[in-house]
Amino acid sequence: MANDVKETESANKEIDFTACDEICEKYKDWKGATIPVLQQVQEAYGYLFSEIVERIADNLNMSAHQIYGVITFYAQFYTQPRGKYIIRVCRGTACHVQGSGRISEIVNEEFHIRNGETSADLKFTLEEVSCIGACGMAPVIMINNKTYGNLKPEEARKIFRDYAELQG
Amino acid sequence: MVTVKINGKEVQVPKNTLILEAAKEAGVSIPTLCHDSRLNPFGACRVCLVEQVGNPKLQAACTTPVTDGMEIITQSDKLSRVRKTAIELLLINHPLDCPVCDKGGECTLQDLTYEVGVTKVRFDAKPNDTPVDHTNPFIERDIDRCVLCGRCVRICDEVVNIQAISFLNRGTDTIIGTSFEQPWNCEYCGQCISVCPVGSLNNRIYLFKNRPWNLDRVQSVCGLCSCGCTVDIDYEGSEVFRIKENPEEGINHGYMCAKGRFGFEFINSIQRETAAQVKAGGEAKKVSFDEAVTVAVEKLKKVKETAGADSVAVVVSPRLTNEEAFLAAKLAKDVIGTQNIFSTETSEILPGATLEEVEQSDCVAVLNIDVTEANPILGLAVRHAARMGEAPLAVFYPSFTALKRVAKKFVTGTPDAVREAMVKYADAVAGASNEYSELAGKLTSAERPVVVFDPYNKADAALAQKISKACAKVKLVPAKSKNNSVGIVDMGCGAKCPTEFSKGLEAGKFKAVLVFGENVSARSVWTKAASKLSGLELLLVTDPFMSETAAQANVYIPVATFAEKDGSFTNLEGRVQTIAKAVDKGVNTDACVASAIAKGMGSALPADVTAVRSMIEKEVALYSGIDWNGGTVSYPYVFAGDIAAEDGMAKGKGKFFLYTASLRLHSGSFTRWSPDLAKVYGSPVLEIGEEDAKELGLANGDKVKVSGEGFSGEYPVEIDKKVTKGCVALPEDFTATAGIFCNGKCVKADIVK
Repeated sequence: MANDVKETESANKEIDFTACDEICEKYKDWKGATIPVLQQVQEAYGYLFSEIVERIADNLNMSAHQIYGVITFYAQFYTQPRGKYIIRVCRGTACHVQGSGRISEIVNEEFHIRNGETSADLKFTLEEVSCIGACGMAPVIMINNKTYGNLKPEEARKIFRDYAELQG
Repeated sequence: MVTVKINGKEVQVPKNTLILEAAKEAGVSIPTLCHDSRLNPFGACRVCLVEQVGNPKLQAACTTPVTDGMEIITQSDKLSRVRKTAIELLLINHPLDCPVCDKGGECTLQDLTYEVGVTKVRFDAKPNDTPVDHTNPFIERDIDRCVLCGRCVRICDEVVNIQAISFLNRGTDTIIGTSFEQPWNCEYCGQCISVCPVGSLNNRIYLFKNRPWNLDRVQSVCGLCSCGCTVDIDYEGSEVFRIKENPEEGINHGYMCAKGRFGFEFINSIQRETAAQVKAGGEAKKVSFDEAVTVAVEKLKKVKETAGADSVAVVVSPRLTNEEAFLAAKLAKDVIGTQNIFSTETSEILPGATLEEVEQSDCVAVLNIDVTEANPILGLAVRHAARMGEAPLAVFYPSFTALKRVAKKFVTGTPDAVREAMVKYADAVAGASNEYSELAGKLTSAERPVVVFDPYNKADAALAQKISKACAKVKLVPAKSKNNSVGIVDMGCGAKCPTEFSKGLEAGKFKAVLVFGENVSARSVWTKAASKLSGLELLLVTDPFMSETAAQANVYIPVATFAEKDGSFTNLEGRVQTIAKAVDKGVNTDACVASAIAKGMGSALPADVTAVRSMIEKEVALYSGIDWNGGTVSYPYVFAGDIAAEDGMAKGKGKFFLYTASLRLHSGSFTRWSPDLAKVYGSPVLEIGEEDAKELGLANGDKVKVSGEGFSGEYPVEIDKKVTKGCVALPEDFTATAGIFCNGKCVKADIVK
């Protein structure tokens, strides 16, 4: 998988490293700057691919392997492209009882992605999460920062289709 | 000092001593798996848990410092159960393929399993089953056998400072691996293999070739570069199976480099010659050793009678032992009667500091040498100083080297720009005020400053001299190249300038040349004159291989490598260390050759090491009363005189700067006969930067024509993003490149695709 990413990235012509370099420059002489740098670079580029990790390593005078160790340790860092819309389906107990499994299935029916995967058009990523703390609204999902609760399966499908039709 | 009780025995140890060390002091051994005294405490395996009286929690002996009055118990029923469980847990995922595992017989996990008495694993065994990684040419990685002790990751980080591997993922998914599962690419030093307690990281050169209990072992000294690392040679019969670290002895703390660890195969090479050869009428004939010596002596006598002793020259290789070099010099001076003794080394620059002084230094400057490639263990000492001691490290080199990660200041640029920067730096040390004043101030204000430089580059040496004159406390480390570069000079083989030999050859002054182990054709300083060798009355060459020079000889005698003889080498610190014979390949040593020729000439020279050593102690003042097992020679000076100031700028015309590349896999021409090294680096490759490669439309492996004043050649390219724009680098010491650098270590060249 990692290799696939690399190929698509290098096929995507030149990568603009300016944003990455600026972030690194800000933290250059800090000790323990790796995590904030990674967070901000991920924010700017969407995910952490091998070229950008190499670049960060060069800028921070570190080894890319060490940085990759940090990236894979934390759940907050991604080495695969992520969709424009992150669909978080709550799979906590309350939502499970209220049929959140069916909602995950609908995501799969609509976009052909399973937990952790991203649709081919880079529009949607499905994440099944443990509990988002809104059990009163079970079953509940989040799409980016927007919350949708008390969902019936077909309502959920409609919401997904609405997002799919959004431009850009 | 604090007092602690270990198993009832009281010991006094310094504050902050770890329980493990205190126990050692008390003569108590605690089993360990993840601990290595050279690395920072880690505490990953829980095998070393001990009981502390009055504390209900068990303590890890390898991470817990002692406190005053602490009472420790290392043996109890509870501890036996705990240790046994720790091992059992490790064995859940560890495949029990010991019969086919290379580590079998010397595996810490195997020994611990035996020691704590695990006979049955109570848990469901789920051995890992992932493919073995062979992306590294020298290191096999079998991740299934890994117990995650982290020693490899830690040594690569704390000692080598390359961080080529890291812990990936988290929790039960943790593995040791590389960024984005890229092929494992590193310095190939193999330090990780040396600390792996299980069969997870294996030496691919030794893989599946033998079992450890079949091997005999001698302690010796590596015969490749000038660091003088103590190594163990493991052999069976007449074959060397591996060369292994020995952390207990010597000056290298058990660290080794790629060529030292993996480059020994030339010793076993089937390409080695076993019979002497004599050429008559252009045809080579195999003869016995005695016949070859007789022919050589006859010719030598004839030349001496007709043309005089001054028409005889002796060339000595820095690969020879002290004893052999002494005999060769003695043969020349006392038996033949000539002062024409040549080598690539000179007595102009002698050692000035020990590796320990470099490690303990509080400010290091590295002048224009890629020290981690040229002298890897010296490179580790520099890294140690820069990282552990936080010594401000300043490096001057045309391109970034592995020291970049630890250097406080790394000056790169074209060789001429680097030269200018170094001149300014030396000026600043001498008191001038310029942009390097602050950096120079760190050196002058340090208590134990060290300067590492390349003694073969006169312009660099002149700068090092200037620095040491301005700041007397600076310790100088001339990074000599070969295993006995220092020793042969001490034995009297470095009195003459190497260029005198090529001049004499070209002028037809020499009629007979005796070459002891040197490959004249591959040395930059001689390569142009090497064609004159074949016209000589007598060209005697001794070499383990039919080298380019040996092929021209009319008398060729195959000789032993460093693993096949006794003797001693003097390393770049000036430390004399004894080497020991491991195997016998049925060839004579250079000492035997010198002694036999002397006998033929009517004089007696002993070939026996003890006899030669007593002669050396009598005749070489520096070595009188020397300890042959690690004694350091006290040299009267570092610089014999003022080094003639050269400007050191690149000569010739061309668009590119071409400078010498240091190779971690080769030091000279010897290691090229090791097939596994040659597979990774066999013939010279031109290193070029990314931008230049793009401009010229080059991809890795494309051939380019390199030409400049007095040379041209075709080489494949390797694109290296570290190489500065406008610069390219080629290794010396190959016949294909030796001619380029005959006038200096940096020249101008043009490159055409």
